[in-house]
Amino acid sequence: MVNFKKLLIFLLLLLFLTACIKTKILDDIELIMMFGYDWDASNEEYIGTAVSPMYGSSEESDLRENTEYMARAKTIQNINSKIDTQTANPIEIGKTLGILFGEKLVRHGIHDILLAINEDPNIGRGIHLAIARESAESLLKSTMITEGTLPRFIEKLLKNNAKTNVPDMNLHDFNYRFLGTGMDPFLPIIEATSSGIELNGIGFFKKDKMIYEIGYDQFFEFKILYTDCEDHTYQFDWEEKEQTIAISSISSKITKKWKNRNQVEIIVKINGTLTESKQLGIRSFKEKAKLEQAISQKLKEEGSKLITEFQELEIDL
Amino acid sequence: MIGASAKGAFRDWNKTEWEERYSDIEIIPQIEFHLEQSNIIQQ
Repeated sequence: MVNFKKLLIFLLLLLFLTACIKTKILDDIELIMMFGYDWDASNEEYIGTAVSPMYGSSEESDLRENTEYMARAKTIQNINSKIDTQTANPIEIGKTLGILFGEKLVRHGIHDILLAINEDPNIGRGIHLAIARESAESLLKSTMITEGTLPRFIEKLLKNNAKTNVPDMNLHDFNYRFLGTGMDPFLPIIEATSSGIELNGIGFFKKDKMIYEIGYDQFFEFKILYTDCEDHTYQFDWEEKEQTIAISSISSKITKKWKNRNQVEIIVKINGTLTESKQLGIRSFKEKAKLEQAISQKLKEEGSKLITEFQELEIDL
Repeated sequence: MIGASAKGAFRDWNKTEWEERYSDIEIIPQIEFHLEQSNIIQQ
C-alpha cells in the first residue's frame, strides 16, 4: 500500500515537470545567428560582432534584414556581456549557424577564443567556422543583397562548398585536428566582393595561428590529396596542344601506403569525364592514354609542390 | 594525418617523435587519372 502511494505521488509529480521547461518566444529573445571575432592589435583586445535577424510583425520567409551588435573586450565572456547591454531582449545563442574569425585574429592566434567557444554548451559542435578576409566585422556588417539573411547565406555557402571545393570543417572537426597530435586544422576563407560573398581560399594553421593559405587554383590538388571526392570539376591546361580542357564529374579515391620508415606513398585514383571533347578530338585509346598521363603528371607535380610547402612549414594534414 | 593519433582533450605542443620526423619523410603522390571511354569520338 505504501509503495502504491509512493508510485502515485511520483506519477503526479511527473505532471508538474512539464512546466519546468523555460519557454522561449521568438519575439522576446535576440536570436544570434552568427558571431564574428576580430583582433585589435593596438589595444590588444577582441572585437566581437553578433548578427541577429530582425523579425517584423510577421515572419516573412524571405527575411533579409539583420541587426548587428558590436563590442570590444579582453575576453569573450565580456564581449557577450557587453552585447547583452545593447539588446532589449535576452540573447539566445543556441541557434548560432557559424563563427567567423577575422584575418588579423587568425594570424594572432585563436587559442583563447576557441577555448571560450568550447566551454559554452549552448554552441553546437556542428556549426561552421570560417576566416573572413580582412575583418569579420566588416563582412557581417556588409549590406549586400543575399538569398535569405546574411548568416543563412554564409552557412549555405560553406555547406555547399564542403560538398565540392573544400573539405568539410565544422567546430568538431576543427577541435579534433587542433587538439590531436600529428594533425593541424584548416578553415575556408570567405571575402565580401562587389557582387557578393565568395569562398576564395583555405587557410592552414600551425598550432593556433594561420601561417599559410592556398587559392581557388589549388583547391582540387589539395582536396584529392586530403580526402576522397565526388562530382568535382578541374581545368587542365594541355601545354602540348595549347588547349584548356574542362573535366567534370570527377571522383577520386585516396590510399596511403608506407614503403619504408622514411617513405610514404599517397595513391590517388581519379575518374573523370571530358566536357566539350569534340573540340579536342580524342579518336583513339592511344590519344586518351596520352591525355590521361599528361593530367596525372601535372597533378603529381602540383601535389608534390603542395606537400613540400606543408612539410617546410610543418603543417601536418 | 599519416602519423595521427588523438591523445585526449589537451594537446601537448612539445613535438612528438612523429612531428620531429615529419619534415624528413618523403611523401610521394601517385596520381592515376582515368577518363571515361565515352570521350573517345567514334570515327
